[in-house]
Amino acid sequence: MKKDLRFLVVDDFSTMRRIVKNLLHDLGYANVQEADDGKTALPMLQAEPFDVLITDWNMPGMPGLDLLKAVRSDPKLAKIPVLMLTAEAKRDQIVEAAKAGVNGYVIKPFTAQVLAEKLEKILTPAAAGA
Amino acid sequence: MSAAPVPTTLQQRWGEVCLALSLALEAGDEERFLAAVDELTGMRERGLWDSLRQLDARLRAALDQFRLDPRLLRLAGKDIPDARARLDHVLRLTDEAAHRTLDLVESSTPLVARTAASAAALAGECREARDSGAASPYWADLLVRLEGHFAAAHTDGEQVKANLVEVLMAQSYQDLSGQIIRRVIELVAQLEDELARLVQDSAGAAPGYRHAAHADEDTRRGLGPAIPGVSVSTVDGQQDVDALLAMGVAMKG
Repeated sequence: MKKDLRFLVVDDFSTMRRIVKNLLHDLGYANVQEADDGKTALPMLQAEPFDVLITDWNMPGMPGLDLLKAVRSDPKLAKIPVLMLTAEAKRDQIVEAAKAGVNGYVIKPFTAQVLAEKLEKILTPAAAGA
Repeated sequence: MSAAPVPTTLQQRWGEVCLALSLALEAGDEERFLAAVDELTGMRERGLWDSLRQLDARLRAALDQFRLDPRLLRLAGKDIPDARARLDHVLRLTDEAAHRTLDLVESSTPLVARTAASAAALAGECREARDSGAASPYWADLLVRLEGHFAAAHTDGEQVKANLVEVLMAQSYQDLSGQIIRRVIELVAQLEDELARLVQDSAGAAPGYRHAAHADEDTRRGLGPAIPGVSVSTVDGQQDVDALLAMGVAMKG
């Protein structure tokens, strides 16, 4: 796994952003930036290249599902792997996220191990774009 | 022996006008017939209006009582805003506590990592020194004990590092409980709005209720963490999530 990957972590709770950032550091990924909702994240994604997007769903402003759809409809960003890290646990929602093109979906509360597994899965070239 | 039949309420009320109606019809007197019809419809409408007036009076009385209930005024003016402030405070407190814990985790992890790494290196050096055979029996014995100590310090340090990751993960309760509290705050704010409007509205003017957002819109914005006994149709663990995700990807085609 390439350790210089650039991550963008989007969550409206600063605690959760910090937790994810720490876990990514433990996994050896030091290049992590943060945004507090889709509205803040989208211009960041458009302004500089990111390799992985990790986003919450339920956020004020622009929710994660809208961010995912915006990313997938932007030709420059369409291929970026997106991992949804959220407390949203309705069956319809997970199916909807999959249809919108999410690469991975982790339910909060989660363990460090599950996050590492799902990340590895979406970063494996064979799984990318699946 | 049979007494004259007692006229029913129906007969008492409508008998006279019906008789006038049928007599006018038999006599072919259109003027009298129409007058009787007018009388009949007038009687019917009077009943309806009486009922409406009674209903209106009851509604006004209920609204007046509602408006003037000091408990309601207190609720709308003080208790509900108080409840919101309290919940905001809870949110702030848990946020501060979680960040304080994260500060300590972040500052402790490198310390224990450094100690564990140097302990592992020193355990190796002790083993080499002992294996070289150059040490006197006293030193050889001391090296054995030192190696044991450093090896244990390394293992313990690794365990503390793993525990710190668990402490880190445990702080995610702040996000989950925070999301739930935010939704309750929103609900309380809506309740406050409606109550304030109800209190302000003059009796008789019905308050316009704001309808809850459509379920689809809720789904799009996100529903927040699942609450046992409240949420329906939620997934059962990460395996369930993975299966649904695969299903959704397949549907995407």
